[in-house]
Amino acid sequence: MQANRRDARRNDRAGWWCGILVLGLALAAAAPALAQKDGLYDEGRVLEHMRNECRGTPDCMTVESRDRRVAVGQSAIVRAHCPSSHPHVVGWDTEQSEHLAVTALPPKPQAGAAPDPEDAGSLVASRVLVGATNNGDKVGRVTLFVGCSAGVPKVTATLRHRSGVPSHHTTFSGGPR
Amino acid sequence: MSGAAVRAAGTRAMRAARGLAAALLLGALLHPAAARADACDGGATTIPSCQPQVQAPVAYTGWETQGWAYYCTGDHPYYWGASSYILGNFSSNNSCFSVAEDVFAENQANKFDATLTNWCLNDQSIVITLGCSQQPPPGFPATCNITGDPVGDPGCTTTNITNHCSSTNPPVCFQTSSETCGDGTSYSCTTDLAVTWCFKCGS
Repeated sequence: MQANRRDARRNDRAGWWCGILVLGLALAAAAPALAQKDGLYDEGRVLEHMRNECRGTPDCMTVESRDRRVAVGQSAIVRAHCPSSHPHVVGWDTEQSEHLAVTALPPKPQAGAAPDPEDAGSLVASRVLVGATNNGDKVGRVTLFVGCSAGVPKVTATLRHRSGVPSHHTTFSGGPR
Repeated sequence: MSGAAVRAAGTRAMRAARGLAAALLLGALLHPAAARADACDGGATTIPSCQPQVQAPVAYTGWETQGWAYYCTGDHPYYWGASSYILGNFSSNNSCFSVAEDVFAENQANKFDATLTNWCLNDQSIVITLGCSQQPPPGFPATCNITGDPVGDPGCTTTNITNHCSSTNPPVCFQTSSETCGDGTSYSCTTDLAVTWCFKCGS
C-alpha cells in the first residue's frame, strides 16, 4: 500500500517537472515573437535635451517650443522664435522620443510656395523650423530648443537632423507594417 | 632532459615566436588606425595650404544619430572633400562614433557634411577636425586658372563679387571676386570674416 502511494507521489512530481519543462520550452520558442511585439523602437525612451543649441556662443539664450505630440505615421512642423532682444539663431536641439526623426527645414519658403512675410528680406531668419516624423507604433513627442544671440554669431557647424538608434534593433527581425 | 627533448622544446618555442610575430604583423596591417586618414591628409593628393580646424564639441545621448554640416572658415575656408575624390580629410576624437560623410550634401566649397552615430550606451561628446585650405578645391568654379601661392589683397578693381551662403539657419558665407590691376594682371580672390587673399591668374 505504502509503496503504491510513494509511486503515485513520484509520478505526480514527475508530471509537475514535465509541465514546467514544456512551459519553459514554449516560452523560449515564443521569446522572439514576444520581442517582435514591441517593434523596432522603444517608444518609451526619450532622447534628452543635450544643450547643443548654443555650443559655447557667448550671450546665447535658449528658447523652448511647446511640447508637440506626433501621431503614428504622421509628421508635424515645429517652430520656435528668437526674441527681439536676441534675434539671431545660433543653433537648435530637441528633447524627443526615440522613434521620431527630426530634420531642420530651410528658412526660405519652398519654390512655388507663398512667401512668408516673416522671412522675406531677412538673410538671418529669427526662427527655426523642424519637421518631426513618427516612425514607430505609438504617439511620440518633441520639444524644440533654439539658441538665440544678441549679436551675429560665428557659426561653423549646423545640426541637420536628429534621431535615435532603435533600441530593439539587435533583436527585431522585421515583419509587415 | 635528453638532447631530443631539448630540441623539440626549442622548435616549439621558435614556432610560437613566429606565430606571435605573424599575428602582430597581421594585427598592425588590419588595425583600422593604420588605414584611417586624418585632417589635411589627402592621400595621393596634396591639399595645398591646409590647416586643421577644430570644431566645438557636440553632445549625444547613448544610441543616437545626428546629421551635421561643418564648415571651414576664416582664411582657410575651403574643404577638399569627397566631391574632389579626397576621402577622410577629417578626424574625430571618440571611438564610440561612426562618421559617414554625405558627399551629395556637400554642395558648398566650405562644407563637410556627415551622419554621426553614438553606438555607446551612455552620453558621449565628439570633436570633429576638418582639413581646411586657402585654395578652392578642384572643380570649384574659380574665376580663372589660378597659379602660385596665395598673396594679400592687391587692392585693384574688383568685379564678379559672389556670395556663397549655405541654406541653413544661420547661414555660413564666404565671398569670391576677381581683381584686375592697371598692368593687366588679374587675380581670383576670396574674402571670409573680413580677410581677403588672392591667387594670380595664369594664362
